[in-house]
Amino acid sequence: MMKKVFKFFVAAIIFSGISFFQACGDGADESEIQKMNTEAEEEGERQTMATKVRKVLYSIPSPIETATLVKSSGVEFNASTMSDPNKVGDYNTSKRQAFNLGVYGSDLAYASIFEQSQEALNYFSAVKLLADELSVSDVINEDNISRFERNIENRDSLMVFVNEIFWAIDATLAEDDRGYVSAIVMTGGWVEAVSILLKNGKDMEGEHRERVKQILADQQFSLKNILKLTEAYENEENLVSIEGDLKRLNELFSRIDKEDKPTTVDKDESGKIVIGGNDKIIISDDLLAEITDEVNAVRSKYVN
Amino acid sequence: MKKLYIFFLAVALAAPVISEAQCKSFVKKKCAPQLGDYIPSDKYNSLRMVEGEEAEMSLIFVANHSYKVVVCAQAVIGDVVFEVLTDTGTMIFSSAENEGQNYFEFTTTSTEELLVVIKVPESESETGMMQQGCVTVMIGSTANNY
Repeated sequence: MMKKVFKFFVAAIIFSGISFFQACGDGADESEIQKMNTEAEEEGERQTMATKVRKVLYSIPSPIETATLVKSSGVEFNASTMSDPNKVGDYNTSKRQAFNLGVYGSDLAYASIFEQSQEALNYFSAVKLLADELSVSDVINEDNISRFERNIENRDSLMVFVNEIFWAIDATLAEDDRGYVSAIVMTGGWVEAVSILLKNGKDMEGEHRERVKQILADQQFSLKNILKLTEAYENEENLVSIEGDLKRLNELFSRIDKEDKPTTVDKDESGKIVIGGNDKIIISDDLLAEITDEVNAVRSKYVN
Repeated sequence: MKKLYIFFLAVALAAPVISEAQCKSFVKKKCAPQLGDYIPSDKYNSLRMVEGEEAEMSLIFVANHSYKVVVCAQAVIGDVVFEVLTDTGTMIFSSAENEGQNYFEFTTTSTEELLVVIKVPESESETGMMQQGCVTVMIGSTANNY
């Protein structure tokens, strides 16, 4: 009997070992891997495989990075430009929950950068509730809540904390094969960041206004990547209308006059690499008004 | 004895789930600390790759920030190499040309899109078994003025 158990044990271990190698396998299934192996053998050279598979990922800056840019434009903190955290209970579909998780993430980043601790606490509570609704509740546990409360007056620690929380949410969704939810969260975060920028910047003049326009023009990079990410989930019903919203925004952003200069790479005095380009942009007031209206329309659709 | 069978079966069936969790855990334990004092990004830029495979990642870096890009991979797939390119394809950094350095640090004066191309080497193993492992791109940033 012990011999049988031993054999069973060995079989289980072998099976576990195979599963281990396959589990980190890209969502790629076993047949795909077998197919690649067969092709390589047939061609007699495995070298060619490198060019056969090429995966592409898209990423955008975190809301913390964007909020830092907003602050650098010279705007003052204005709580009325953010979403209402008390509306969190109104979001009762997974699509709206995901979108507003991104929205509240951007609001949390904005409040953190401007060291508005009470506001940050309110948005952190809203983020936790929506994370619970989207079944990523284990990301925000009692330890995280204590850590948040301990660091609430320390901007740098808070910025690290906020990004770590959203990293854990993104990782959990990715490993649960719910990447499309991440795409909606990312969209909500981006729309809110642009909305905050436009609301804060609308009355600015001179150099500050030009700075706001430059930050807005730079958002075209992020918009392009979010659009490509949503297109990767073309069969996901929840993303259909969002993709349409993003395409309308992209059409407006593509009308921004931009003198594309090639990216420059230099070294500063300390030997550190400096990457730049400083594209010149021109946004007419009419186009700015059109972009503002469309951003508000998209935001209202999912937030109000 | 029946309990023993159930235990082994449970171990075997749970293995893929455990391995998935190990990817996230690997990134958290082995890769994130490499960012040092930089603020980590909120995006989980991770892939599972096999030998001989290539991946490309489009990343946006905002103006007036310092960045550290770390490419971190499980040892099972060998020494992964990576290149950083401009959006027009000009190479800015190559790990292969920098003694296998797995990170790239720089500052930005304007917002730029850069591409990170990751290549997993071919295996020299004669067993024919294709190794797979987690590869992640960690991005850390600090604002230069805010």
